[in-house]
Amino acid sequence: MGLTNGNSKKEESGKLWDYPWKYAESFIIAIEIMVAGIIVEALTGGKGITIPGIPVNIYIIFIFAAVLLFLHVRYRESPAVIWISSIPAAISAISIYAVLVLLLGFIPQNSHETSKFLDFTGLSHVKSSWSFVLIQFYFLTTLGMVTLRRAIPFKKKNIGFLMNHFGLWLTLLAAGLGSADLKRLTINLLEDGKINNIAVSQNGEMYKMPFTLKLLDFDVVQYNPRLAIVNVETNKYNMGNAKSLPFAVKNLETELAGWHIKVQEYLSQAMLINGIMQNSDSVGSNPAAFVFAKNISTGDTVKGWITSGSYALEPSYLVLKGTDFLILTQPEPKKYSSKLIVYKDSLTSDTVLLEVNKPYSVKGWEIYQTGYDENKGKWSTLSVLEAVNDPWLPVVYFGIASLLCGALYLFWIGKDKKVKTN
Amino acid sequence: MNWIYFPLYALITAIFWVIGTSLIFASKRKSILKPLGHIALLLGIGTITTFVVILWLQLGRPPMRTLGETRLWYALFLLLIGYVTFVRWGYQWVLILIFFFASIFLVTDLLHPETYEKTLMPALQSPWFVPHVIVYIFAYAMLGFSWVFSIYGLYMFYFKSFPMKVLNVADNLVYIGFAFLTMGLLFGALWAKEAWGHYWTWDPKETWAFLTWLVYLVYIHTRYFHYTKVRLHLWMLSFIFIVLLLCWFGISYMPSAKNSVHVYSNE
Ligand code: HEM
Repeated sequence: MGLTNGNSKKEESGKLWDYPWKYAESFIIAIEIMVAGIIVEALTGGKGITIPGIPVNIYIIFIFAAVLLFLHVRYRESPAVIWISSIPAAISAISIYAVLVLLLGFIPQNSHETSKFLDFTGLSHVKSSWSFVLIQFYFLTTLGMVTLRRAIPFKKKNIGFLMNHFGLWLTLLAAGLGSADLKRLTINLLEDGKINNIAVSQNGEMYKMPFTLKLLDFDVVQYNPRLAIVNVETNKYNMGNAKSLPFAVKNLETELAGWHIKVQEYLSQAMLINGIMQNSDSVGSNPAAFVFAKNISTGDTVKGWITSGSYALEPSYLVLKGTDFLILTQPEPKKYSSKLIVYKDSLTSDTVLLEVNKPYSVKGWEIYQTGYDENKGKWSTLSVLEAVNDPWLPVVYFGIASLLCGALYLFWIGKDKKVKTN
Repeated sequence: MNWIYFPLYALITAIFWVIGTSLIFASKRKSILKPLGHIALLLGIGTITTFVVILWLQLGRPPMRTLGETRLWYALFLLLIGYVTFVRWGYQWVLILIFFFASIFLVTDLLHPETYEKTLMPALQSPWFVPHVIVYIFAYAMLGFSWVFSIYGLYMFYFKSFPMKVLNVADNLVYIGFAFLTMGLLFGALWAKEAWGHYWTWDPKETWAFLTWLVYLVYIHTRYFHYTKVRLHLWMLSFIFIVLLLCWFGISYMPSAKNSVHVYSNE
């Protein structure tokens, strides 16, 4: 500390661009970098920048780090290097970066309805735009230089500072440059007993995976459907005072929009067989409830079976009054999972139950359960998986771990007592 | 089922916290009361922990599945974090604030002890859910309080004489809040990796959370190096909280948020 003093006023005579540089110079530089990015963006047709993958990005990181180190070791007392690791430079970098993040947060990204203006300024694809990448470069230069200043020579009291600043530097650098090597591929599996080792990228390229999968069983567990009164003319729920719609369960008694409703029977997988509603394992069966509805003010009663319907069956409902129908909603998924065999090579295989939130890793790939045929819902025979490969993950996680330690340090130590007062 | 005894455990927890907090406040006059206060607070945390443990044993699974169960963890962790913050920083009012938040969850469980499972989309059914949300609740509470201090500071600055202590306390709150904001952001990233395959996708909510984080970062750095520029920092601190609120409430209205996983319909 004490190398740069953001607090001291520039000597009265100091003109812009006389050292030491302060906020004016810093912000001018940051904005110029952003504008330069926009110009390059426009000149290159508004396509953004393509980050190079391994090994080029590794070289870039090493060269970048080496240059920063060289500057620190060789020129640490030169005013320009002092400036780049100073608070004004840092503030300008964080602020302009924040402005771009703000735009990224406001403007729909990579959407279909884009304009020439948004494309040529890079605003339609901020995170791959030249300005964003250049500003990040400026940000990381400042951050890297201030980290070096506190790291060499090393002092124990700087540990918290280093965990935060180095952690962020590493995380952003590895996540940013590493994004080129991230592969997210879709694997579609059918319950057809066949094996599959083909995955497809978002732009339709096919990849052969180093493992083979076979789907044994795909299963959806659903919540019970809800009871609802719907106005078929406006197609809106009539909720009355209810905050949420009740789940249909056996013996439920509830009030909904002026009706007292009782569920006498509930079947989670039912079908009409010979005119009788009964449980059935047949493909396409749907939830069904036998309900009594009594109008609280008039005393009118209606009763009968209502069903959610499925891709194969029409839903059934009760007409309560006029355009108000009592229906069972479509059940929502609670959990879905695939039972798979993963063949790693000709000798070894694993049987895996793949669920949302519980990925499975094999040969550097992480496999996720992501979806299914929602039209068919419970009866989907298609399971959609995602295979993710991110060789930079360990580096990013190292950075994140460092940041987490830094956060704990920040919480525990709080603000250093020896603040700069002028 | 064990929920039958929940009101009892909740009541004992609350009593311990009320006693503990009162003792701590009274210990200004009689310092012997302080250790007693700590014991009471810890017994309160112990009581609710015991309930969670018994519930866990009886259910044979971590009680994290139903909304009622998650609220238990909210209450438990809030009390824990609040207590640790108090021990470290000595802010007595943190106890009251945190007890207030924890009570909301406990009372909700008392009034609506639905132990049945509400619909929670599969990606949300994760052990990361509770820590992620808790840490954010706490961060927002601390940053919210730093905002209150900034407003108070502005009042003092313009109409009375400004004691630097106000900003110093606010700064500590910002540091505590910011530390938890960082954790919330990173827990979110780790969770996203488990649930969606990647730790960061610039989803609008992620973007706005990151933005909030950046503006507090600017505050921390300017504040540290321009310690005497009180007026600037008071105004800054009172404004950046608006960014936080925008991120919290405004997100559903953003044109970019149409496809966000963080914007849920009201059932
Ligand atoms: C995880 C995020 C960050 C945290 C928690 C953090 C925290 C801090 C703190 C507490 C200080 C005061 C010095 C000290 O603790 O000894 C500081 C100083 C500083 N920070 Fe950060 N910071 C973060 C990110 C950044 C970024 C992104 C930049 C630049 C782009 C930056 C640049 C600086 C600079 C230049 C100093 C002054 C150091 C000196 O002059 O010795 N920081 N930071």
